Amino acid sequence: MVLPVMLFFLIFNYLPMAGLVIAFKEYVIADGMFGSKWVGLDNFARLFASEDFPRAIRNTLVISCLRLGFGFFAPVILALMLNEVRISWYKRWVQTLSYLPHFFSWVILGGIFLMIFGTTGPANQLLKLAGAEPVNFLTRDGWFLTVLILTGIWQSVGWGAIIYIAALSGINPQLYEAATIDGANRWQQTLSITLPCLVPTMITLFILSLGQFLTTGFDQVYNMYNPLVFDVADIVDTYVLRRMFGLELSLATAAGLFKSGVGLVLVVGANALARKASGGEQGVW
Amino acid sequence: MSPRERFGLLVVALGVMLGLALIPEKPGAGSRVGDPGSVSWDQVIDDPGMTLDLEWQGIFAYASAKEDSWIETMLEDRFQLRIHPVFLDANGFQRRRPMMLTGGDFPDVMWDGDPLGLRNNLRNGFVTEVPVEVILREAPHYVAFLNRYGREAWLYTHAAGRNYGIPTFFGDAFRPRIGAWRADWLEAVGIDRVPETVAEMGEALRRFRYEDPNGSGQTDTYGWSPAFFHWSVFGSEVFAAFDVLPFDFQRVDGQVVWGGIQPGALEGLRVLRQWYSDGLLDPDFLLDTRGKLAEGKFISGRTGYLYPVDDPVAYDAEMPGSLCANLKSFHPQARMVAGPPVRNAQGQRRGRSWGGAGHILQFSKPVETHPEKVLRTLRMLDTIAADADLYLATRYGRRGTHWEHDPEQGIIPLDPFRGNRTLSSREMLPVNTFFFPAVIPEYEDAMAAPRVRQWRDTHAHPDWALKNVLGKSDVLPSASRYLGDLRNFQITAYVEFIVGDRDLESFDVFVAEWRRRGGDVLTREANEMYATMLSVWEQVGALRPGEAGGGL
Repeated sequence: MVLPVMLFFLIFNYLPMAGLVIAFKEYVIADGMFGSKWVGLDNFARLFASEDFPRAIRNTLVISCLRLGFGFFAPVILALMLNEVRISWYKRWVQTLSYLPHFFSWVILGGIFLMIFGTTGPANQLLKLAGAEPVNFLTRDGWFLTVLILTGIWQSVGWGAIIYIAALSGINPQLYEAATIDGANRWQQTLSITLPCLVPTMITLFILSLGQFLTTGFDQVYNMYNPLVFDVADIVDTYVLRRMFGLELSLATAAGLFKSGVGLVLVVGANALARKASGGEQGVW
Repeated sequence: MSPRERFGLLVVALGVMLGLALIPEKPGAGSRVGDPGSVSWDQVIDDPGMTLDLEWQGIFAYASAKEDSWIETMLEDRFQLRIHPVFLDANGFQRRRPMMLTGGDFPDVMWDGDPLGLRNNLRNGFVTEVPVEVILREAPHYVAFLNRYGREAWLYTHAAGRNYGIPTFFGDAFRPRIGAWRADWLEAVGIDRVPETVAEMGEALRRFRYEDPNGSGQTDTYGWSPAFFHWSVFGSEVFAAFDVLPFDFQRVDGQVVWGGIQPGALEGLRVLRQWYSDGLLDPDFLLDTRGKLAEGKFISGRTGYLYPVDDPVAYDAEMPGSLCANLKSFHPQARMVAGPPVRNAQGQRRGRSWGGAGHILQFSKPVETHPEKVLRTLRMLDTIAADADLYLATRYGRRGTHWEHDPEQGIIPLDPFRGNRTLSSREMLPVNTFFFPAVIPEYEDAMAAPRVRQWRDTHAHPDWALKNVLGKSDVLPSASRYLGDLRNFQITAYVEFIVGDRDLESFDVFVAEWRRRGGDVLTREANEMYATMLSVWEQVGALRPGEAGGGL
């Protein structure tokens, strides 16, 4: 039974990794992957010598940190809040509505948010009603990042909460009963039972999310950015796309490999830290 | 995982990497720019009686078209071909085609819009050389039109001293691009003529913004939502009035220079900045990165000026689906009028033009095993260029079935094809530049309605055109390395100048930065390329009286 699974991963996940070799070559399509000239680390040197790639790395790191800092805890909070809801139909509705944006393409959402946050869009109309000056949400660096992070959280929070809701349902009810007998209120129960029980799940998801740390949501950025915020919104993925369109496949692969390398280091490092901090009890492996 | 297992895994990983690195390379591997190919063209014979298969990836404008259209079948019968067309839309061309090529799926004939595309393909070794001598020998009629209307295109197919493909031309593209005004708004705000100067343009935009042209009683209109989804249309009607093409190379005082760093560019930015500061420009123009919003705002009655709108059909309220018809569907009282390019300081109209140089038809590397396909293609292009009736059939379909000519109205599509794009695409590929990617004004003008010819000369006279001295800047050897990033840098900087994020006094800082980021390299290459262009023109017989080949 294991063989088909192993074959699947071998064929579709491991063998294609051989293609990474073109990051070290001057890849010429006509010469093929193995026939192209070996250039060592020249492509990486060219990447870091360019004006745009270091900026793309910086932007990717900034957006990733913001996403992780604000976005990681949002599903936990939503799951905790939903856990406290006692009206089941209301809970189901909230869950469904919060999942829904996950299924919308950013091509559609991007257009909707451009309309909402445009200078004459509903967001600015509300500000106008409140007597405030209009804000260029999408053309000012700080506001653009704010909109980017918040809309990203809005789109993914419901989906991200599923695992936490499942983890919450697995907590032994006797713990709550014992706490109630001891006189703990809901808030104390949350702090002393619910959150500690969620920590292993949070650590696992945190480590896994670090693997995608530099994957900053290409679809979202690509559909929402504009030249005025290029300095903060041009990320590694948009850089790679430009190189791909220009058939500079070695350069694009080198950029992608660098991104994956950073992800690998972060995952291994975070796992080691988690194991060390928990005396070997926590961690993915 | 035990330390021993970890060590084993590391050894395996290093072994795989080492193995990959040690796989022998082919001698001479690396970029293929300058590759002479393997064909002895003097010995290639094309037997006209032998049917050839030709996979043809043409321009990306006919994604919904179907194989075996009337035009395709007609050409197949006439030239003993079995054509297998590859239809792509713009998105498919940009995203799907690189995957096709990377996967080894090479159409025999590959259309490319930009010289950069050819150079990317060339670097990757899948384009075959087509010597200039072969084109001159096999397609003299075609070359005559090419030299007359789009001789810069010879540079598009030129790389490292060799020619890689057939340059194309658009004899109707040498006219300047123009914008459209809301005629009823101009009247409503007391302006009795289409703006003639930048100052008049600014005044019209100001009144559109503040003098309630739509009679709503509110300040709910803007003058203009500038298009900047593509560098070629970014404020170009304003910059042209200062004799500048900001994203092109121009010739000034005997030198080839980048328009975007010239003093005229600063003047254009000063005007746009003032208009933005005065609130005349829709502030959301910055969000129009796909080029769809500006037209929507014009149609919905939010703005009163739109650029570019070149096609006379766009102004025809009776033509279903035209810009004017769409505008009237929202605002029945609306009227549109074409705005010729505004005048420069010397009183001359100036507007950006692409010029008559068109695109590129390349032949993929596998064609080297059947070089007669190149000769057959050249014969087909030459025969079409030499025969007005065949040209019209290739462009519009069969006369009497698909279209008819009326001396007053020009070419009229016949029912059921009139206004039915889907049916037309399936049956005949309307306004076809798919198989013959060139436009010959002599043949078009003979069939055009007199009023259309007059309209074009009145609003977009060729004498007003400003164009890139090299046709397209992508022809430069270092274009793939610098040009794209420099364009992005310049667009961002220009937008910052316009919205006030950058001080205009720091224009020199921008110029220095542009030069440092590769602009100096491109400018040096542009001057060398200009000399090369003259040499190529001398070789192909495209030099005009008074021009010297081979140098500046």
